[in-house]
Amino acid sequence: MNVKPIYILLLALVLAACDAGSGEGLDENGIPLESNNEEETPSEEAPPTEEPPTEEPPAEEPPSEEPPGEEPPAEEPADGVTLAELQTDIFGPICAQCHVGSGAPQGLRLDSEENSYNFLVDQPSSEDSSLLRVDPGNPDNSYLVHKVEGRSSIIGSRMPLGQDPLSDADIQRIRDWVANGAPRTGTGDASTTVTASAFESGETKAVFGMHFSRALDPATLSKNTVLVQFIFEDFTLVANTDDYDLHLVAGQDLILEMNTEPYASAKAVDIRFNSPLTSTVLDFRGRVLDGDANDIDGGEQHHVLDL
Amino acid sequence: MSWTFKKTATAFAALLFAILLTPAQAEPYLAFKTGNKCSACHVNPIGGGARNTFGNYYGTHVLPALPGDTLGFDSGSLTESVRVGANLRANFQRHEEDSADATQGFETQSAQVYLHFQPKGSRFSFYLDEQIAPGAALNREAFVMAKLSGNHYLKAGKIMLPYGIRLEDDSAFIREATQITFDNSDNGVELGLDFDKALFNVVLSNGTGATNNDDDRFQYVVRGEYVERKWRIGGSALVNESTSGTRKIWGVFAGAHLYGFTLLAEVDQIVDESLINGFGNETEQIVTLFEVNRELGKGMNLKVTHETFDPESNTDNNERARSSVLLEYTPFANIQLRGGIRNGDDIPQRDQGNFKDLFVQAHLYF
Repeated sequence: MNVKPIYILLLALVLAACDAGSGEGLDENGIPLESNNEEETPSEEAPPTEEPPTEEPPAEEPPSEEPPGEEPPAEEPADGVTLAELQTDIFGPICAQCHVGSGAPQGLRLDSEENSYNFLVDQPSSEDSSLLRVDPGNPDNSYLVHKVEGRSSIIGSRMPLGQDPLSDADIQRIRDWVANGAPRTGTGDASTTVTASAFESGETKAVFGMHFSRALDPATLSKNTVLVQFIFEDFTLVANTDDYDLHLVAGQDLILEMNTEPYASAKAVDIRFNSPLTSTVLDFRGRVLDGDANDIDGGEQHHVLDL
Repeated sequence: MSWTFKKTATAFAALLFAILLTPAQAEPYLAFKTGNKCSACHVNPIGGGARNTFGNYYGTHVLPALPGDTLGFDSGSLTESVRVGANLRANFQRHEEDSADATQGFETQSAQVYLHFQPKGSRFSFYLDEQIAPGAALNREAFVMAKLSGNHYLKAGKIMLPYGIRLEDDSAFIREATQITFDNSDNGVELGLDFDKALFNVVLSNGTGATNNDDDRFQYVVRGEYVERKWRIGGSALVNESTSGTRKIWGVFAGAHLYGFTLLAEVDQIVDESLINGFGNETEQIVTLFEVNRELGKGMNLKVTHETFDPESNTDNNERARSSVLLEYTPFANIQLRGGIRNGDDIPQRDQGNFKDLFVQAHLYF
């Protein structure tokens, strides 16, 4: 190698020395800390929206008594996700790398909490006009959810573009926010919904998981809130309460752990939760869980699962 | 040890080396290396997408270690009027952040098909660039092009805006921050003035990153490039008017092929009135790219890239940087293997920007 290429490589090394900033005096999004208390700049371009709902009533403190099977959380569980949290954790640092300013892709700005709300909620998708970007209360009909989940029906690439997909936990938080009515502030006034999140069946044990769009009031959770029945060839047997346990994780996930050994020849298990026939469950706001997904408080969550 | 085995072993070792170290993706270095304009190889005068006859010859006989079929290299030219092409990129990728568990897996990064239709003897042609995977089809470009006198042209339809160096990698800072990506093409008209050593583009488009224009404001783009055999220089500017504030971008780019190294560089400043910084002023951003390519052997290219992004020039200590090392090996015609590492360096409190990506990619081109 002669001398001149070395100059080129030296130039490359000098440029490579342009490292990242120290982050001193900045928040987690690189914004100066002293400016964080200022008002967000409204976007004139944003579509008109209704006035945001009034603030949520303060949540009641959950009783200290723990229900059966409750695992002491490492830290205070959140009651439910808010747009502000999504903006801080997802829309701002990840999506707004591209969806920022007047040239934002698809005209979708996610660079402030206000813009995220105005450009997402009840706004038609520019890629699939048959769907809303966020259809309040309907995560499965919201194009935002389709894009971050990378469904086969989406137009173009999965979001975030050119980056790793969002974690399952972050996608679930977006789903929860949408399921709760996509509120502008707080966790919204819509019913708290439940979805089946997991089922595994082994030789002696079966585990069923449910996810709630808001935190439950753990005091209202007991073995009586779930009815477990094992289905045999010719009959059905109600499970002994000693044969299953409930574990509430971080307020929003319930794990039902079942000992299937006494019911070894059962073909399936029938699980009823939040049934008015047994006992209903309240969320942290003191409202009955919407178990049957009809947008009205109350209703049974019912699953029949093959063993 | 035979020569062939030594060569294969060396290639494998180099690929492994790159995998163990650090990536970027870009094709413009080939134009910079050969002293050609993008239109030398591509149907689209500003580059990317379907290759023309020379582009197909270059891709099957000059680029690979072993050349392809001498007669069938331009099989994408179905008739004198119809030409098709395709690209597919499939990855294995591992992503590591300090604050989260590593993720890894296979993905189809993108698959595109291209169609160019030009009736024999006509100065009008139709061009289509459609992404068919992942997900449902996404139209990236669809335009009618009219050849004017000489090589000048006029395009109308959905077009990728001519701005700066047209990297394939949409996640590069100069693409991401300027928002000139394949995922963000715009509807408008483009005039191209193509001279012997220079190309000038002027575009009028809807702007605002939307599919339709819901106001009386537009986006204006100009780009100029002067090309010599061993070097080139150019500049671009963009003004996007919108009700929330005007966004202005301008930048310069340059390249050279010196002593076996192909260098690319671009710097852009973005001033966005629709984004107010912490001081109550319009946001000013600066983004840079520096890339060095070196042909290690026939069919094998080493690419080193360093990018910086200052998301707000009036704020200190907030800069971001990315560095990549990538090895591209084209053993045969129409198949390229790539592997490398990209290192993201950001302020300590911003987890997403501090990462290490490792990837191996199979790139099929036709």
